[in-house]
Amino acid sequence: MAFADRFVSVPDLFPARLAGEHWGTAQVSLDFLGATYSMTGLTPGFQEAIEERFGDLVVAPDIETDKKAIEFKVFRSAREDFHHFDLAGWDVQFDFQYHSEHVKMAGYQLMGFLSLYPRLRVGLWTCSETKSDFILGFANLLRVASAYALLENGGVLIHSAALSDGYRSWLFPGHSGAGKSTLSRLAAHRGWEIYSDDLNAIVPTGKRVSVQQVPFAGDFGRERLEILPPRPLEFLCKLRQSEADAVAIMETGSTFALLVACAPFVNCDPFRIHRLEENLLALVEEVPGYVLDFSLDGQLQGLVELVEERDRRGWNETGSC
Amino acid sequence: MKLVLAKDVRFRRILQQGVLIRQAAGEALGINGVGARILQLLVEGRSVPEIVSLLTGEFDVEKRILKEDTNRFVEELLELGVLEPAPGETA
Repeated sequence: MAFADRFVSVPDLFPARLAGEHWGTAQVSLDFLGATYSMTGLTPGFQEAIEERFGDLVVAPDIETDKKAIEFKVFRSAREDFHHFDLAGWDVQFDFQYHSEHVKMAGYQLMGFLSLYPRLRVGLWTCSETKSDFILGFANLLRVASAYALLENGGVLIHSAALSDGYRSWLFPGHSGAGKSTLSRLAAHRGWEIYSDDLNAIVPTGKRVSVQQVPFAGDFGRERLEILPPRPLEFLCKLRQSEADAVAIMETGSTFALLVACAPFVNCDPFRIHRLEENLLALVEEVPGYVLDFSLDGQLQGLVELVEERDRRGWNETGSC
Repeated sequence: MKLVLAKDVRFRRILQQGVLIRQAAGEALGINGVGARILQLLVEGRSVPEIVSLLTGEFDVEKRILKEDTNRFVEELLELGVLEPAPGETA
């Protein structure tokens, strides 16, 4: 099936640039992961939906900031531009088409366009009129846009759970079923902080890399978005649910491969794969990888011992051991 | 027989090791140091017998064992669709 065929009535008419009829004149700006996103073309209802969903991130309009902001324009599409189908039991899916200078994204009642050069600009075409329908498509396109914005800034979005003891963070990349939510629940019982059990940002901060919260997904992340500051990433682990707790060093190639596989959207983009590799190379050079076998007995003994062992070897906030 | 990477597969050396990336599927596979060296030589156009001869000089391993391990590794990659016969070669 060709790109967008399953979502869009006439894929050949998919937008090729950021132009069209805006839904309204309302606007709102969001600030997260070191970037400001300036959303325009909104109805008052869309604006309200964004403020309700991303309230912690809303910033007041500022002329100087807006000049550097990532433009995010919302356009009106006709209902007949899209195929409509029953969403019951449907897993949310998208089509992507990658080009040297832009990326197209199609989904249920949405068409997205990311213009990547000279700087990121985003367009969303939707026929959704209700707040609830609009915010779903909006959040999904914003997630993709943030993956590209991070990539450009040397970071990467990773499907992962991320934990912290209040001083440093640990990352557990993996797709659905890897054990991220289970691990997060066990960690919460221990009193550790959970950044998210689904999606986290890895961001270069000076000579180190840090974990930062993203405002999108996971059972743990959303309501604590304001609370957790970026914390230096001490190590990352591949999760394996097992009958016994154990930890083994993961080889660099395997660590790199795990991160590539868990870097959504950009890992399938043939025009940006070099950039992803460069960002991940900097990450694996800095952060050691382990394989963590963990049992469901609730003790996380292997992880606790790994943290203690690294503490004994002298890890501190300003440098790895 | 000479082999090449499948069209949708990338290979990259990472700190003496390697990674294979199948981009269309967003999949990646870590490769240890010896495997990465074998892949590097394959990408450079060496045949499997040539690679075994070269590696015999690089690693302190009996040639027979090196040949068996290399053949097994290459067969696995062929089965995974990571490698394919070079144009003009037959499987």
